[in-house]
Amino acid sequence: MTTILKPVCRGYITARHVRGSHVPQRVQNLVVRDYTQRNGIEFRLSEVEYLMPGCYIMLNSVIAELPHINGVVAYSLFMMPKRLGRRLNVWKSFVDTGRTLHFAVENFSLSTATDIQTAEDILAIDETSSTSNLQF
Amino acid sequence: MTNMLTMDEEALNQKFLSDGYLVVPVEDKAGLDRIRDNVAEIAADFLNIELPEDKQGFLDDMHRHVDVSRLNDMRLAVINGINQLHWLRATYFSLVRSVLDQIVGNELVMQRRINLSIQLPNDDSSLLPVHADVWDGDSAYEVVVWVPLVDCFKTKGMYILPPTPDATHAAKLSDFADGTTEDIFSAIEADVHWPDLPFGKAMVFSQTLMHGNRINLEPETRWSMNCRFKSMFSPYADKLPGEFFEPITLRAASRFGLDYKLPSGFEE
Repeated sequence: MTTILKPVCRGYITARHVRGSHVPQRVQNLVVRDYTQRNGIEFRLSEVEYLMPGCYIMLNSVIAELPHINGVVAYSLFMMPKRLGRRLNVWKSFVDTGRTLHFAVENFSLSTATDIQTAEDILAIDETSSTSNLQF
Repeated sequence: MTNMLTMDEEALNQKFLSDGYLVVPVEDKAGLDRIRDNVAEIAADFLNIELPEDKQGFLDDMHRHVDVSRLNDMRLAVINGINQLHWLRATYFSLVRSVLDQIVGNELVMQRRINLSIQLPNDDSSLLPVHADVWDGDSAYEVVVWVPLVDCFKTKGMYILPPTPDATHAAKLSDFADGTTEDIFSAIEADVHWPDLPFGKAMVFSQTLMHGNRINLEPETRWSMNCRFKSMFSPYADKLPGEFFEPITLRAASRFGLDYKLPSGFEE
């Protein structure tokens, strides 16, 4: 019988607030681990993005690890860089190397140009609705 | 400020301020032995093998019993197992109680869950890249009590950047905005300390300082535990009382204060 190897992914969580909310790192890790279990992914201990606003050194570090793993499971899409150019470079790092960037909260993964468009659409809609002051 | 520390307290505090860490003999060796033996027993249970007489040797040789694919499952099983031992946290505290009393205070909160690190030789899967816990949302007022369960030395241990070089490098951290933690480590490598920590000693360090570990290049497996303590009434950050910390040495005067309510019922 052939053994099917599970894809190996690094967890990626953050010390910063996500969409204005504080989510304890233990809770972020539970969400990430649950995602990996449901999707047949071998989990590697999460790296924690530093607290300093605008700092993505830990994200750069997990991207540098991509030659040795199959992808990354981030807690949320909304942890990604705010600046478009920087964010597109992140997407490119995965798509160009055939790796996958998963987002546990959104239950969404990015590995193709179409996925990039989907991710950007979600971020744009969120940005629009959070600044439009719509009254419901 | 009037300094009323005793000479011994002053010496210990100055040493902590200059180095950023203290390596001290544990104050409860029997307690440490008990912790190590229970860790070994839970690991043996997980692996379904008979526990050898030489517990420390068993832990040192763990890479002969488990590979990277099962390492995290074993680590979680051992963490869950030891944290269910009702005596664990009190015993852990007893290892360095007088040191904490002198450099942190005598009304303390303690991390609810004690962590365990296992590093197999040449394993790059569970490294802790350079960081300061404050960058991860911890209070700058916390200290970490790091306790080896085997003899830890060189890359089998951990590194820490003392306060003076830490301040220099931290001031330039944004130079690495497009870099990685490896780039930061390359910059600080010449300045870091690798404290030798034989079994029976503990390290207390300020987690505001950059620290981490590297691939364990020694031929033995590293086992170490860590737990955070802080003064009960010093500022908190993202790690809060209840979810992360638990009060362990509340004193009577503070009990009066916490319970006190001004008489009410007056009307203007």
